Amino acid sequence: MQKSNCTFAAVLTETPIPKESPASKQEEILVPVDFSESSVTALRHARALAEGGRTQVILLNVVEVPGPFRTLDVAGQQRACYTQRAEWLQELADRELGSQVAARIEVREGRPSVEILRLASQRRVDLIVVGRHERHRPRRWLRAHTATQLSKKAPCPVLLLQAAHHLN
Amino acid sequence: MIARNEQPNLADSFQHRSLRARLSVRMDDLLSANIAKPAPMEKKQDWRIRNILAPTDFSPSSVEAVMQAAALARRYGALLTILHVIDINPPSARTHVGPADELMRQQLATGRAELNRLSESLAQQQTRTQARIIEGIPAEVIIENSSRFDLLVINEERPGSAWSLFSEHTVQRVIEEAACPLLVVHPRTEPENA
Repeated sequence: MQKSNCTFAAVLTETPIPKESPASKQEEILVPVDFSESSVTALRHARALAEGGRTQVILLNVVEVPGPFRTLDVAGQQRACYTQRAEWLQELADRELGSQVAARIEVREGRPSVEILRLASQRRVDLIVVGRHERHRPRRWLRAHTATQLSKKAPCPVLLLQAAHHLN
Repeated sequence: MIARNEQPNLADSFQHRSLRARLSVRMDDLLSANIAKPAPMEKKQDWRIRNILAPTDFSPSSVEAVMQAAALARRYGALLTILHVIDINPPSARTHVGPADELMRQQLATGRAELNRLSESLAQQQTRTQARIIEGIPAEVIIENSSRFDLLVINEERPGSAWSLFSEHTVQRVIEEAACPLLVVHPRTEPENA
């Protein structure tokens, strides 16, 4: 892979960026991680894109809390859950990204598609890399894939991967 | 069930504690343990972008996707394949007067001319490009051919009406069924509304 200082977005829009400009924004690739095989595959693809550039990979895990339990006092359990998820994300980042690629860990609560889009907009990420789960067609009609929703609404390009996509 | 004004006997107390324990475990399940700690996956060779597929129907948005695919091809030193599918069931067939062969010949001639123009434009920008033109149903041809590529670049319009959930448009079918990593790009002029 060729080395480049340009961000992924800059390549797509062909915007010239000064090579050594300290003010130029660091490239950021957002990878939603639910610890499934497809999300690990997505992380590996993000690493392949990040290598050779000034790129940070953001690992995001969204904790889905069922509505009725929001009213209960579960703060302690939530904290433990967030800490555990953050530790898992860090472990995954260390294992899959190594020291060559900068990583940032984010754990949020809510609906995955909403939180992913919120973070993507807040940080103005250059790319979202997301793995998809297989679903049967009738269920797909009832609830679109999180990945499909992202591809429609994301403020940046979205790289969609099936779990079955082998790394060549 | 334990009455409020009665001292629970040992069995009731045991059941009560058991229920509380079960509820507590269920809460833990909901909050933290419903996702198992991931086991390390087998390491495979890194993904490299060597061959990029960019389908186009020559609409402005699909040509824009081709241009973005070309920029990626230059960045990664990849070969860009521009694919145009001659639709065997085109919308223009409803209003076409004359033999079907004539319509297909017209589409083929137009497709070739547009592909040549696009290829020449990309060649001037130092992009390694090849063009292909195939007859068939666009979504099926793109999906069938996608397995031979490292990346497929496609442009998707922003969400329309809720009825699109039940439709099977070409872009949606490709997004659902592509056999390779798929980069979905959006029109550059679109304001950020996510």
